[in-house]
Amino acid sequence: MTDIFPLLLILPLLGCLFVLFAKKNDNNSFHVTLFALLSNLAVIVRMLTQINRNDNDLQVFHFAYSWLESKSMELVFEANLFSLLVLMGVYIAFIIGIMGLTEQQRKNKAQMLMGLYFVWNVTGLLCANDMTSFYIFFAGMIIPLFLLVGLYGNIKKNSTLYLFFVFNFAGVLCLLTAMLFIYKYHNGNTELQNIALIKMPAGAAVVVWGCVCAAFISRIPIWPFHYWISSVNSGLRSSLVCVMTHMLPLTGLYGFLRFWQVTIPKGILPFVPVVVVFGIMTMLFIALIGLAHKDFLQKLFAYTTVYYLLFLLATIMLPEVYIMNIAYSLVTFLIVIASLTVLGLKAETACEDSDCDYRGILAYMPKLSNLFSFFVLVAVGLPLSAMFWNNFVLISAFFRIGFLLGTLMMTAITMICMALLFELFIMRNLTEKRVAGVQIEDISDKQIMFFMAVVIFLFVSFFNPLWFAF
Amino acid sequence: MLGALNNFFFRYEERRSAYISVLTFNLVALIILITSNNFVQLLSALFVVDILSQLMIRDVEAGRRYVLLNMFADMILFTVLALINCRVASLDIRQIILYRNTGMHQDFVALAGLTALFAKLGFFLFQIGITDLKNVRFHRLQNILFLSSPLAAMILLLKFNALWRTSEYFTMYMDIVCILTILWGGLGSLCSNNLKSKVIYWQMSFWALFMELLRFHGFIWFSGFTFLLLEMYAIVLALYLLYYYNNRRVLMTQIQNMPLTNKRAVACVLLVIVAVVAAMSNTLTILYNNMNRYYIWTFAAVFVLTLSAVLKQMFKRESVKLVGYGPMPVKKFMLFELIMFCAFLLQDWRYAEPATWSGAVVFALLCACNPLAKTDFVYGIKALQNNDVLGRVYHVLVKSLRLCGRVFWLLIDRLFVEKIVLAVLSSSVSAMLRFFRRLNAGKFSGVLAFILLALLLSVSYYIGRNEL
Repeated sequence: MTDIFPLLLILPLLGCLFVLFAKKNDNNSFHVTLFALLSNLAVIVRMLTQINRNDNDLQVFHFAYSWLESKSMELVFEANLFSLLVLMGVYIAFIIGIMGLTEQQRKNKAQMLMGLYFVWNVTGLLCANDMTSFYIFFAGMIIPLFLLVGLYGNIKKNSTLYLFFVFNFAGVLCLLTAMLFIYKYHNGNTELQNIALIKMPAGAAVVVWGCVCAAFISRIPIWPFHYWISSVNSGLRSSLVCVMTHMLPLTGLYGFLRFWQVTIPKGILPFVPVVVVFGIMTMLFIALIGLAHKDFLQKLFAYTTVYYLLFLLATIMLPEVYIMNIAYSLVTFLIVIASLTVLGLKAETACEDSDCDYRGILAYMPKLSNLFSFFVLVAVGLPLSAMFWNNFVLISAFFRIGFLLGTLMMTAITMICMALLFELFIMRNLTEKRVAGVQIEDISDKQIMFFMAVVIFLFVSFFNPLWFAF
Repeated sequence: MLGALNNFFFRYEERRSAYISVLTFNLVALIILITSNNFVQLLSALFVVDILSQLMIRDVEAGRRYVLLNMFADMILFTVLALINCRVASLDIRQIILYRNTGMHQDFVALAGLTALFAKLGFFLFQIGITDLKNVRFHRLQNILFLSSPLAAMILLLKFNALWRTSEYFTMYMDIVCILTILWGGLGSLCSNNLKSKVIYWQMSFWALFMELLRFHGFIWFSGFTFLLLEMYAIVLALYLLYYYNNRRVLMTQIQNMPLTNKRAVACVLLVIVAVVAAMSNTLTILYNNMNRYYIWTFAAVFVLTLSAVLKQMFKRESVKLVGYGPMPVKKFMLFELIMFCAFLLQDWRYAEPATWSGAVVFALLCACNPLAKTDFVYGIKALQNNDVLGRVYHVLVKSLRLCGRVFWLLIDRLFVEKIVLAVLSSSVSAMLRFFRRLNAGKFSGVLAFILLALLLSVSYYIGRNEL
């Protein structure tokens, strides 16, 4: 079962190597990146087919590597159904992001290289099972992201970019502090699921878990730290970079999931209600802001934040039995936000010079508009994908914990869904535009075919989320 | 079937087969909704009906509020069903009986569920969703009002009434909203200058009455309800034909040549309307005998008075023969009559009483002389025509939410986070940098600071190990 597992980590690195030596100003780097992503996606699907769904033991693929020939520094990688599913979502989202690049952007070697390096880090993070490797990948992914955001982000204020980096770097330092403390009390590297069991003084436990929480929260835009992440997001014009920034909260979410896999550590237990309250407050606040904003990317950011917080609270508060519901929902969610990002950006770029509204059911680009409408409908929770009934199960579970909790969550979700639904009706009257003779090129047939495949994938997942593997 | 046949024979749509396929999909979704026995099936079918209704509307501007209100209703239902599911720990609808026995927040479940249904039906305070549909084609409007979300709402009521009735507020809330809807619908149908709006208001009243009738009958379906639905459908169809064969002019003030150009059509439609009113009287008599409620006649009075007044207004207008509008073709006339005759025969006439026929006679008389017909001066009041005062609730709700969002964004994001938190952080970082620069400027101060830090770390390490 473990034969092909190392491939998962090697293929993106090999891809990086090939991209590095590819010709400049050519499509070579794009094709290599795409090939690397597709081949790794095939590996993931193959691994998913090897998993016995009825097996209660989620840890199936195992791979260890002794670093510096020291037992205390052994790097351990494991993949289970959850991490593989999330990885699949990440890869599909990246492929969508890459397909959304313009001809000019596809020739940009640096962008491809950084993108692939980022994917490698995400892959490593989702497979890491020990503290050291987790930290390496957690820290490693901000370098390509920062470079790409800086180079292609079209950020108007330097201070925003600076804060974005400082904030993420502070998160990395927090995790480093926690890791050093853990290293001290455990005398070496340790597996993630054992961290909660390490004996340490009460004060040290508070420091460790406080740092861990701070590190992961730095990736999830919880109020009041959401500001600079949203500022960065709204300025991006490259679909790949946009998808990457949307992936960033996933790493924080996954961190919580892995560190609190067994139980919430006693050191942090009294502070959990604070995180929950802040999480719900942020959900409501961001949903309201999403309703007020007119910019689509801001709305999309608000939508992703609300849903990431939903998944975060599900991770913290719900029993382990709901973990697969989170996974199924998360896969669809990642694919949908990547598709909406690409389609939204494409339309926005096409309409930038012609002063027109573009989205919605009525639009100058009917093919794009139809696809956009479908993804909006999936995003707002219509029964068109696996997200619908898995979210239903999660919300039910929240109601079991508390009536107020469930109601507030549904209020936030309703508001943000309404905000997204407004996008379908953004264009009201085409008469003026018809008179003016506005003509904008629609998306190409190849792209339609590609997105139709995504649509089919999502729709079939409504009936069976693992239809492709079993 | 009537909707599809009507469209098939009369060719209202450019793409008939596409429209009929939407109707068929809608039928399938409604069948799934009726036969569903778990929450996921039920919600899926409900959402599919909503999507199909959007396809039926096909007018973005008209469908905007309709879709948003339906979405709002769906989210409430989603919440209610999630709450039920969490208590009974089963997706099986038949298990809701367990929630009745053990569940909490039953009042919330009942009131929220009813609110969702009211939003779907376009009842009082939610009417903005359906009044916007006046810009949709008439036959589409008719099918949306009968076959899409409102019908789905009725099916939900039949499925969940057993649960919702456990709340003591259920009846009170339902009565209040239904009575207000009937009255508001009556008023709207009399005051609106737009024939389609009138149909929408009548339909509002009708669904409110239908809901109340179901309640009086213990939410048990019987053939009388089916006939009532068909009768109302036939009346709207007849009104549509009046509109269609009279220049397709939707404003009452613009209908001019009613008795001149289409005598055959007008005679045919009038005959149908009188017959259907007779059939409706018959059904209401049966229901009245079964339930003994005077409430029914309130609606009947409102409906008959407003419908007859509107018909009288149509006929009393100045007749001008317009070029380009031919009479109703004989084939269509015969077909229409045939369908209506079959529908008429299908009625359950066993309980027909003199009162039944007197209903039709009274209606015919009212069409000739109805004092309410003189209220047509209201069509000229622009302020009244352009504003449904209570429909503004939607605007108030959405705009206030948006305003809240903007205020929050301005106060918290811009003012607090950007101007205060970030400014404080930047100042702190600058201050720390200055502090270190000054420390390093001296000969031993920097070294001393590092020694102090190392000492603190050593102490903390030592204390920590002892505690362990």
